[in-house]
Amino acid sequence: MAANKNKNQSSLVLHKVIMVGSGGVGKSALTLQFMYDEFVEDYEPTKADSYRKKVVLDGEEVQIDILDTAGQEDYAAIRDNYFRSGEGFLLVFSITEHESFTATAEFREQILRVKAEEDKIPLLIVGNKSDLEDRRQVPMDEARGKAEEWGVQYVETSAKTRANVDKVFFDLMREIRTKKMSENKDKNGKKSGKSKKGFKQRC
Amino acid sequence: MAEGGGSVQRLRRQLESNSFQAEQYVKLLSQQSDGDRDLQEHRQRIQSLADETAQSLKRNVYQNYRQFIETAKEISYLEGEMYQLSHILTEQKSIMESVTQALLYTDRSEAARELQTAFPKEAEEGKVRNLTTLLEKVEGCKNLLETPGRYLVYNGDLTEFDVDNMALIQKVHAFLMNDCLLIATSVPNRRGIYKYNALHNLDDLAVVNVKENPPMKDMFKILMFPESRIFQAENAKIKKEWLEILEQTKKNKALNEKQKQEETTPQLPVVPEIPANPFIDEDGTFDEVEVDLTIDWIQELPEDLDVCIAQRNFEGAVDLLDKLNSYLEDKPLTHPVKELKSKVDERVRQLTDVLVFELSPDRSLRGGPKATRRAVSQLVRLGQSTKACELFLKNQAAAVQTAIRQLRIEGATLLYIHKLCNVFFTSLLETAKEFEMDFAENHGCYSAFIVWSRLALKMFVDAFSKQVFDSKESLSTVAECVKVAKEHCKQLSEIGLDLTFILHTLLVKDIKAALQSYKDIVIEATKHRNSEEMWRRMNLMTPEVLGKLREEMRNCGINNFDQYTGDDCWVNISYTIVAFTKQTMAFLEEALKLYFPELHMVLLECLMEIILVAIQHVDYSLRCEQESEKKAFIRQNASFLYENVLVVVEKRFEEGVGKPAKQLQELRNSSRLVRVNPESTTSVV
Repeated sequence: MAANKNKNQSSLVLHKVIMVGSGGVGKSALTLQFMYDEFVEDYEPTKADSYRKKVVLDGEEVQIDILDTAGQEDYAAIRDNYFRSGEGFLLVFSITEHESFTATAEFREQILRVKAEEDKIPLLIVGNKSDLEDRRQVPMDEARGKAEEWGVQYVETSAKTRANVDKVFFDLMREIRTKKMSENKDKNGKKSGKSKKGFKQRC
Repeated sequence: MAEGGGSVQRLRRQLESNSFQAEQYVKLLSQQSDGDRDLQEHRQRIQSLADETAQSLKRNVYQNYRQFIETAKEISYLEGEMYQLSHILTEQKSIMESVTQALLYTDRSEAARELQTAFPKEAEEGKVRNLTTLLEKVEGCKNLLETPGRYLVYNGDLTEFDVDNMALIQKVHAFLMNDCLLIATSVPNRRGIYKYNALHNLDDLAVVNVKENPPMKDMFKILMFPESRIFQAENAKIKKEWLEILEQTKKNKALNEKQKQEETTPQLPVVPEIPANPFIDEDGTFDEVEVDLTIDWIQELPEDLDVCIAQRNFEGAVDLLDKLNSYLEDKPLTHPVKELKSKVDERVRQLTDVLVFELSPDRSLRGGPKATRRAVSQLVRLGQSTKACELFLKNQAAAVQTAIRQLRIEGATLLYIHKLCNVFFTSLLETAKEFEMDFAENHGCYSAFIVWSRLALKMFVDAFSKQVFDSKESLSTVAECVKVAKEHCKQLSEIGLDLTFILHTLLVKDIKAALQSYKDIVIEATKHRNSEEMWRRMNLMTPEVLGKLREEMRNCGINNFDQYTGDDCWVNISYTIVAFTKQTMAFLEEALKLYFPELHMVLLECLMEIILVAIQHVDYSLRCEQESEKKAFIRQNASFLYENVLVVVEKRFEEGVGKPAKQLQELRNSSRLVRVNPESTTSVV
């Protein structure tokens, strides 16, 4: 660890997170709140934006790379390419729009298809806009039930109030880290010292 | 001596031998020698040998002296030549370098980008060619050119960074083709030369905008599973362009492929129709491909059009277009068809421009309307009949104007007017005939011609008026000129074009003014004469002069003038009345030549004013005159005026106009009362 600290951010572990979900559910809002602690009211459809930030995850300095994708249908065809690059996914829907919740199933299917060769994909279901309780269309139980069915965590967030925003990103990063470590163990078992990251993590 | 000579030879061989060693030799010599003498002898022998050698050396040098000199000269020549060669080589090297630099600069991304924003369409053609030149600079990717239809969309310098640790990796040059992205690294020390690094299929890559987050700036990410790459653009604007163009190109590609797939199936049954084309019938080499746009002539159509336009073979170009249109008529509007159309449309635009230029009035106007027929008919075939019509007429207007301007204004107005009318109406007639021929199918254009005719006529009238009216010509000349114009105008009706009404409308103001100004002259002259009225008989001195006057009066329509003439050379009417008669009748005759219905009232009013002057003069004189003899004479004059002159004026007017002039009759009758009842008049006075 000491050796790592002498180097700049470049040698930090990088976790690649992808924001997935229908258009307008608040993927960019969540990202911006997490990145810059600000809530952006104006809605401008995203094409594909990438963010990077240094964070301290359980005492270890790591980097998070967030790929904010387009929810709009026109981009459905090229989503595969984005999904392939991700290590973990935040599957976002809006609790005020039932359709966006229904759509999560399709997104999940697509992720599973793209990442078919991996056994467990770090993924969280995120019900955003929890501040708009009065306009809720998706009951908490329904969402929780679905998450259980899929064997993933369900968290309700508000990009506006910043409720649970850090939680979803950090929980996801933990899942990614766990997965990477188990993979490295496997790899190191077969070909020792091949991966630099593995070496670092062993220290 | 023989022995000595032999020893010398032996000594020489000994000395010449390669293995000769001076020390060994001296040692051997001193061992063998038995005394001073022997050594002395030996020394002498060596000495003589040395001399001999020096001699022969000297001889040899002299012998080869000339050759030495020549060789030395040759060497110096060679040296000079070598120097020149090296100089030329360096020069050429620098030229080559500057050429590479220049080429590189023109191809630089900036130039390409500017071109693209300024002329997106023109740039497209150039880009295909650009691809070849650009890719030649990239080592190891010649095979890229083998894919047909591939062209360069965008390219530019980028800096690549490590995705994991954001460390600068290398400078690259990215070439975005319509279906793939080529990354090339620059070769150190060789500007503008790149080395192939990677080729990514556009389908397999995703573009991600990297949000600004120091030290990351102006970056974007290309994801291609499993790796991804981060590039930095020179500035935010260029990055934005890259993102937009990449996305657009990806979309276009997907769209293209989708449409191609849709096309291939339904297009198959269309293929049998192709042989209906004469081109394909002729050359059997044509191989049928499922997508019917790959037919040779369609493939080459844009280029062929270029050639046709360049060779000014407009008919050929339009023929090609017609062929394409009839071929595409019943085909679905698929994407490649659209693409082809857009390419062709560009040519059509060019062709139209050229044709328009052909027809522009700045071009030569000689050759008459027929000279424009070629361009006009091709434009009409291109469906640009309105434009063709507009240009044709504009061209003709310019031609007419030039023709009018070129007419030399010679002394006599009438002569000029004759020429002017001839030139104008002939060209109008020719234009009309040509128009009828060119635009026979486009009836909609006819109204444009009428409008044009009106304008042309206006131009003519302007020139006409300038000569005829502005220069204050006499009324007879004016009348003659107008008559000429009218006659010419009438000739147009033989092709069904009657502009007489327009001519009248355009002339009426000037003619009115002319009539009125002439009326003023008549009135002024009459008043002037009246002011010197003596109420005396006229003495014409000789019977010949009287005869002449009689003739004049008869010409004026006064047939009973004899009643008013005395013997020999006397006329029993005052000079003023005679002069008035002559002048008024002349005015009337000329005015009637000019007459058309719009002038009716003006003419009538003028006549009444003139007549009134005479009537008032006679009546006034009658009332004022006390001498009965003179009174009788005045009365005689009055009766001449009323019973002859005014009647004749009315008659002529009615003849000329076609209807009786009631106002004139009323004028005569109202005045007659004064004359019929002369006593009452006198009593009043």
